[in-house]
Amino acid sequence: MKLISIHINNYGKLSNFDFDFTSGVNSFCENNGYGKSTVVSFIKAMFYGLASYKKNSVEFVDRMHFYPFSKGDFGGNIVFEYAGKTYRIERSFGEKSDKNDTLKVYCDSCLTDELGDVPGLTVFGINAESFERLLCINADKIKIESTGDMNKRIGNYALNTDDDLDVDSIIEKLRKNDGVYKKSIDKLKTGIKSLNSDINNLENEKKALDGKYALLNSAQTNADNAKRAFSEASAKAALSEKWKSYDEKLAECDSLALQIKQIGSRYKNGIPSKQNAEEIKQICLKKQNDENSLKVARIDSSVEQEFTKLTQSYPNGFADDEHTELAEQLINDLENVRRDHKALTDLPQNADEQRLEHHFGGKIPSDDLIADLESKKQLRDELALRMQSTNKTIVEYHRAAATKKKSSKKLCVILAVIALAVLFSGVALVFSSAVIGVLLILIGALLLAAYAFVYLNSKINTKQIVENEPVERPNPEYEQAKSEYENVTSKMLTDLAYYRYSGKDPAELLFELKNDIDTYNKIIAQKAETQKQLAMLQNKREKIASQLNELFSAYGLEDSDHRAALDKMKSDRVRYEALDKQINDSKVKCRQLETGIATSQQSINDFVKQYALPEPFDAQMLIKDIDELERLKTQLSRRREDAERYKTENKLDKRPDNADTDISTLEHQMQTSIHELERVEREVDDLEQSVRALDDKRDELNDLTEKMNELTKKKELMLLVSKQISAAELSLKRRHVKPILDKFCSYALLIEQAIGQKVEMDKDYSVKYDVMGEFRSYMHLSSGNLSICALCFRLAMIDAMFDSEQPFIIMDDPFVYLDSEHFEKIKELMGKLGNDKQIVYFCCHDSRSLK
Amino acid sequence: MKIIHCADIHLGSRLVSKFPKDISDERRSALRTTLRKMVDFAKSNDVKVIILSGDVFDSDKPAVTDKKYFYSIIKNNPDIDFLYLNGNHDKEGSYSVCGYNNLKMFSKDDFTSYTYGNVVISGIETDENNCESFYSKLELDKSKLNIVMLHGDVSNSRGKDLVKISDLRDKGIDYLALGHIHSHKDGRIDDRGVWAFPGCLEPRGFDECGEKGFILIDASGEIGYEFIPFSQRTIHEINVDVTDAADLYEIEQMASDKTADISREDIIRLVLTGELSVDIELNNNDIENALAQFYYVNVKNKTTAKIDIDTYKKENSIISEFIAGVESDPEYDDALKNDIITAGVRLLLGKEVD
Repeated sequence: MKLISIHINNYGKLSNFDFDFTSGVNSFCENNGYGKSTVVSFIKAMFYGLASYKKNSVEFVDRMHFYPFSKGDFGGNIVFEYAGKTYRIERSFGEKSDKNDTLKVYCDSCLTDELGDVPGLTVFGINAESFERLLCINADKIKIESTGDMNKRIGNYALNTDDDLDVDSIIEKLRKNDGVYKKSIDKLKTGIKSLNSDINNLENEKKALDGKYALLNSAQTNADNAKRAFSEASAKAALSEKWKSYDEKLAECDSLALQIKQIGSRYKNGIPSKQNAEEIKQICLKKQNDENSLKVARIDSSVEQEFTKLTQSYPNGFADDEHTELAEQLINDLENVRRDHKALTDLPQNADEQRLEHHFGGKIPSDDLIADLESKKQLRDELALRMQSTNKTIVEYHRAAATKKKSSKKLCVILAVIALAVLFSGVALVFSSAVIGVLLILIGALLLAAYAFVYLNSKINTKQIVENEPVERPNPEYEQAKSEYENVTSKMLTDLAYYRYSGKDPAELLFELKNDIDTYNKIIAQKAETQKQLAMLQNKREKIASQLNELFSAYGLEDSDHRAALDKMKSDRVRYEALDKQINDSKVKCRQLETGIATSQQSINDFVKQYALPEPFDAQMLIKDIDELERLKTQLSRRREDAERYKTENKLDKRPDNADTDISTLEHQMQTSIHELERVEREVDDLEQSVRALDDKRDELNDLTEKMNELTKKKELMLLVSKQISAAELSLKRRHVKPILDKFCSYALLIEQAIGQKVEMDKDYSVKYDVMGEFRSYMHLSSGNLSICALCFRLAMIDAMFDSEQPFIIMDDPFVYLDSEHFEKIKELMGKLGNDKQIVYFCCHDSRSLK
Repeated sequence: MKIIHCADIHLGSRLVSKFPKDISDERRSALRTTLRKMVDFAKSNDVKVIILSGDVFDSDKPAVTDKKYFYSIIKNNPDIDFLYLNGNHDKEGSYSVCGYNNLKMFSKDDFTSYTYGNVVISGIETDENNCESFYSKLELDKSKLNIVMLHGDVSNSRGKDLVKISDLRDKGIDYLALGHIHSHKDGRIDDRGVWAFPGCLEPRGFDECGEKGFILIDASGEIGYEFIPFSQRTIHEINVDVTDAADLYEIEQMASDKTADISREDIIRLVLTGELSVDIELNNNDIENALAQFYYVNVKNKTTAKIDIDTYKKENSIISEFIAGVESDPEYDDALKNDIITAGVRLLLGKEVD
């Protein structure tokens, strides 16, 4: 690579400062204060930026140091060649913080980001610290050893990879991890210690459990013994109870046997069988039934009395069916005649008869009278006809003067005046107000029309009244006919009034009279016919009654009520026949029953005698005894079986002794021992629960121990890994240190053997030299030799670290401590270096100028 | 007649594998509840006898809670006979004479027999004193169906907790009900009889993988038996070779594929084996989270780092220098060298190391 130019806008004391670089050695000899260190810082800042600082920072960092006095744009640009391309880095910086810093990188005038945020890292492959130590050489005491970053660069270079292999950080990480492991292990140890303590405590509790178990066993034994004693006593008591029950069962059997014996004692010849008893019971029942039936079958004395009475009531016996039927027929006939007679007698009076009696009073008008009335009627009709044909009055017409209606005239005049007034007003106004004028004219015209109508109408009425005025008077012809007519009518009414006909027109009254006469005649004829029939029916009734009386008297019946007498006789006859049959049936039945009763009684007597049964014999009682005996025997048998079974089932072989055992005491003892057992069990259970944690604690202990062992193993493993990585790195570096050392020595030889003959580098390229057989740090060198040594070291490192892209080297007056002899050799070396390296050399005195 | 043969319930046992506390508590509880469920199974399947071939309790001094639970089961199931033979864990003192008629015990002195019709169940508790002599005491009526209970592993020699099967031949045993081994297995004694371990009822750790349960014996005619898987959960140990995995996703995929057929209620230990590229940053929690659908998953990483040492050796780099240095160090064994190289190379490649 090659540095081409820089342009400083403002940086420290430099403003708008430009500087161009050439290949090889660029030597600048300027006085102090020129700004050489400013340029060096600017170049570094262009590649790596500036660290921020805080207000109260005590460190005098470059950002603070080189903040421009002019306070203009803090920054500038740098142009360089790298990897065959020309880059320009432009930066501007904030006063304190990098927050407002800007960075622009141009590659061949094009903006690019290929150099990343820190171009120095990309270009040189080392960080700012390494850049400063390696490529910026000044006269200050500096460490002649590599940084981890430089080592990484060398390692990578050797590895020929681009990986970020930072062994230092790995070792550091392992170191930190080791601390973490140690802390974790210590923590686990503490936990294990605590657990061991817990376990010891629990072990002691567990040991105490043995004592508790002995106590538990003892309590268990006591409880078992108490249970057993109680159980045995209970069993014994239960056995006694069972024997007692058994004895009770036997006692019940004895009682039953006694009852059987008592029943048997009542039957000396033995107790009949149930079948025989049932048979004799049936016989007894039959006898009883027969006796009851006999009582029922026997005729009551009242019946016999009734029969006798009936017999006596009809000494001639009862009418036979023929006579009865004849009597029945006659009675029916008699009743029919009576009914017909009554019907005729009870015939209602004709409705007209009374009215006609009222008119005629038994005297019917004569035919002459009727004829006279008929002629008057004819005359009257003629007069009426004449009246009809003659006007009642005669009419005559007379002319009369018309009467003017003043009121109509007044109205006409008023109308005419108003009409004209309105009309003229309208005419007058039509010229001033056409609408009102016309309207008034129209109203006036209408009023005039009304006037004309009223006027004409009044005229017509007046004329009519004058023409139709008649004069009327009676017609004498009519009046005469009317007088005659009224005279005839009066006569007719007078005649008719005699027979109480009035209130109507005499013609109508005459018509009614004639009809009533016909009706009255018919009524009189009908009444005569009825009287004839009644006489005939009376004869027939007497005849039938006579026949009936004759028939009834033969049977002693004298009742006038033939129907009642016949019905009584018929009823008595039925009753008589029924009583007769009842009496006969009773006699037969009684005979049969008396025979049966005697037979039954014989059987009973035989049975009683056979079994010597007590008197009176009661079959029901006998059956009851037999049933009771049977029941008792069955019950006895069952009870005996039950007792035997009970004995067998309960194994009642031997009666227990009568030793009196207090079960309640034993039960109390058992309960006490059980409670004691439960109490101890609870204690043991509690202890066991506690001790059960022992397993968990042991598990936990095992767990922690296992974890601790694992961690310890891992810690040891990581220590070994760390050791082996360090060893590998050392070995690797040793392989790379040698060429660097060789380079270093060759550079040193170019100058002089300034630092002794034997030089050694450790793995971090720290230079030591042999003084009197003892290796000493480069720090013991004189300042002059140290500056030579530092230069050689850097050159060797640069050779080792960079291949084709050799970086520029900035030397800020590094040889101030060299004497002229050594400096001459340096000049010679610098001349040679300038052939393949770009060197920017600053000094402040001509004696150290390379020119 | 149906009989249940079970053993090695280990009531009150601490879990043999390390589980989180909630899982651990659940497993302990499961020891009891599975026993109860087995008895429920017996009730509903007309089982008359339950044979307990040892190690019902985990110790001679079981916790009161466990004892009460066990005896409560016996007390509340009077229709089932419990034939309880002590094992090597509960060899003595694990029970008391509780007076339950349906709890049948055995002794060390001689074989004790219980007869159920044509079936005779005999057993003897063994210890260091009688472990070689009890064979001669076994005398069986060969006309009966003979079930013999012992506690010990099958062996070719006599000894404590050992059962020499060949010495039991031609004794007339139809079924030798063994306890002590926690996995089901069976075999023949002779032409007539068989021996069988039911295994434990419920697994307690990763050393008790596979199906656990009991054996259901049908003694109605000839002896027939069937293993009934019955545990609430099964523990699986699954090896996954992740050599071909390119990244964490592929490892998770391999783990998922390997566990696809396993019930989600089960417990899994996933052992990662093979060589794993140093580029893959494997964290056990990642795999456990990927299999979170299972009741519990524990991952063991037994992979080794896949480092192409030969390639590195050819380079002139710090890694090659490091590998050469480690390999040439005589103080390290091969395993340690591998660990150092793995960690070192990872660090030198900029990777993180736990």
